[in-house]
This record gives sequence, structure tokens and C-alpha cells, in this order.
Amino acid sequence: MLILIAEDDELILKTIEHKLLKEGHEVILTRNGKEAIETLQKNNVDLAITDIMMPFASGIEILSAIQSMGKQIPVIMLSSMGQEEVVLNAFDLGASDFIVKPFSPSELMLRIKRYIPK
Amino acid sequence: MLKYSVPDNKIGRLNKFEFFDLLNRGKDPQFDVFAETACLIANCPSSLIAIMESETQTIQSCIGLEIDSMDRENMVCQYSIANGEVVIIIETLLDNRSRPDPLILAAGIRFYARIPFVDDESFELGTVCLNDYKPRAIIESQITTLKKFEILTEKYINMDMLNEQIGGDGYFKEIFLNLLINELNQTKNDIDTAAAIKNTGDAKMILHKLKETAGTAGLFSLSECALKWEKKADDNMDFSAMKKEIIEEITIGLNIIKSLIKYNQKLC
Repeated sequence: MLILIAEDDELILKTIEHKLLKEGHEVILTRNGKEAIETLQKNNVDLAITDIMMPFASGIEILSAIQSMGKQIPVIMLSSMGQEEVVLNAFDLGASDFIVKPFSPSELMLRIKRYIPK
Repeated sequence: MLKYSVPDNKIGRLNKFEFFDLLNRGKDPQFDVFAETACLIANCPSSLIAIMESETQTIQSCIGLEIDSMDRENMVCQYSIANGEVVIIIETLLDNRSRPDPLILAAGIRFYARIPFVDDESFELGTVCLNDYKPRAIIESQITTLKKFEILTEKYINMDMLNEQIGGDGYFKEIFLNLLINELNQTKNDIDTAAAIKNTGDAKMILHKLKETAGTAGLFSLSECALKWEKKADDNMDFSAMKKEIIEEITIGLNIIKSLIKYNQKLC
């Protein structure tokens, strides 16, 4: 699968990338919301993993952009404690799942498996 | 010969050790990271982390010395365990408390500092001892940092969380830890700038990110501190207090991570 990660925290970004590459996925890294939206426009991504609070455009804005593009991409939101309302809003905008930071990368990998075509 | 005094809270303290499974544990390589960190903080060549049991002091880790346990009698540590206070001896040969200590004499230790770790119920769980081979002083800020170093309750770093992120991959571990150091150093600079110009929006963003970075690395105390200030971040925030506390916590985190890298290199 081609997976896009949108995350401004380099440590989290690289940790997820490392795990995904080990699982045999292709990965595109983006470090802010604007870069993620531009990348989603140009590429046929199978899954997106996005932080909520990021510079230039938030994870919520990424979800809106995906809707506007008319693309059907499963999106896993990386949220923080105390962002429950934002997460509910994200589900309204088409988010597929969310995981609260700090999270176990193994748990994230298990969640990703649900979106791998059988 | 000096006779050691028995602290009033001895039974409660030993019960606590049992609760935390700290009795008869012997050396634990995981504590080497903290012993190294203590050396870095205090700029000392030798340190040890120990638990004072009923009659003996069990060494969890030591840097620059080769010992596993010591009888409590005659040891300079008895003075701190009796009252739970910091002991600093700038010249061991001139101090009555340290002169009869066989370890100090045998190892040629001239400077000695002992900082106890006390839990929320005022029970002393362990201690860090810092040694130097020449007489010297220790500054107050180093003691303050070491006092906050509640190693035995793993307040500062959760190794399980860290290992979970790294996943047993030695190559990625090095990348991860160096990345973490870069991120924490960058955050220090960013916090400094945001505090200087009192930019609430930037401060909030930086603290939010720091909370997540630290949490991911298992630096839970730093993460909690960032969360606390993120919640307080508004135009009335005391930027100076925020900067002081955050930078102090980041420095502890950096020291722990640097020690972890040093420890890993030693293993290789």
C-alpha cells in the first residue's frame, strides 16, 4: 500500500515510517497540512495517517480537502488527550479511525491492517 | 567507632521496597543509564545508585567503582538515611562522617555527595551517591536537579514506552535517540524565543508538540510538564516561569537520553 503520513513531529514521523517500511509498505512523508494536501492531490494514496494540530493546515482541513477532491481514502487520525471533540468532528468529515498519542506503533500497525485489501 | 542511627520509618520504608519489588534485586543494567546521567549532571567521574536495606546497601548500578553491596555500619551513607537529607562532603579526609568509611578510603574518594530519592509519602526509596577523586564543591542547581531525579519510580523515563517505539532494532534505536536529542534541543531554542517575545500562540504550539514528542519517547515527566503549561498558555501566562521549568525538564531528558546512548555504545 502507498501510505501518506502527515506529522510535524519528526520523531513520530520517522517511527511510523520505520514500522511501515518494515511491513513492506511504500511511504510518503509530509511535515505540515499544506504539503499533505498538495501530495494527496498529485498521488493515488491508499491510506493517510495524519496528525490533527499541524502548521499551515490541520488534520481536519486535510479531511475536508480529501472530500473536496472526491477521493475515497481511509484516514487514521493521530490525536492527543483532550481532543475528543475534534476527533468527533473528524469522524463527521470522514475519518476512519483515530489513535491517541503516545501510542504503541504495533497497535497502529494492527489498525492499518484493517485497510489492506484481502 | 561511629554507630549508625536507625530511622524511625525503617519498617514503612522496607514495606515500600517490597511493594516496588526493590528488595534483593542486585545490579540492574537499566540503572546504568541513570548513574551515567547523574555523573553528567554533577560533572563527576563516579556515581552509584543504591537502596539501603536493613543492614546493607544494595548497589543497583555504579559508574567508576566495582562494588555490589556494603555493610551499613561505618558507611557515610548512614547519615543521610537517618534523616533523609542531602549529605555533601567537599573533603572526605577532613570530615568525621567519611573518615571511617572503608569504601571511601579504599577507592581514594575525596568528594562525596549523597542525594536521597523520596516518594510522595516521604519514604526514602533509594539514593544517588556522587564521588570525585579530588576535593570539590557541587552547585545548588545540580542538587535540585538530582533531587528531582526520582529514578526508582521511573518518573522521568518509561523504558517500556521507549523500547516499544524502537522495537528492538539497534540501528533504528540510534536514529531515534539522536532525533530525539535534536528535537529537544530545537524545542529549547523555540521555547526561549517564544518566551522572549511572549508569543502565546507559538508557545502553545511548541508545548503541544513537546508533550507528544516526550510522551512518545517515554519521557513522561517532561510530557506532563508540557501539558500543564499548554493548558495554562494564555496572555497572562508567566513566560519566565514556563521557560525555566520546561528547560529544566528538557535538560534532564537530554541527560538521560545522552546517557542511554553512551550506555548503548558501551554494550556494543
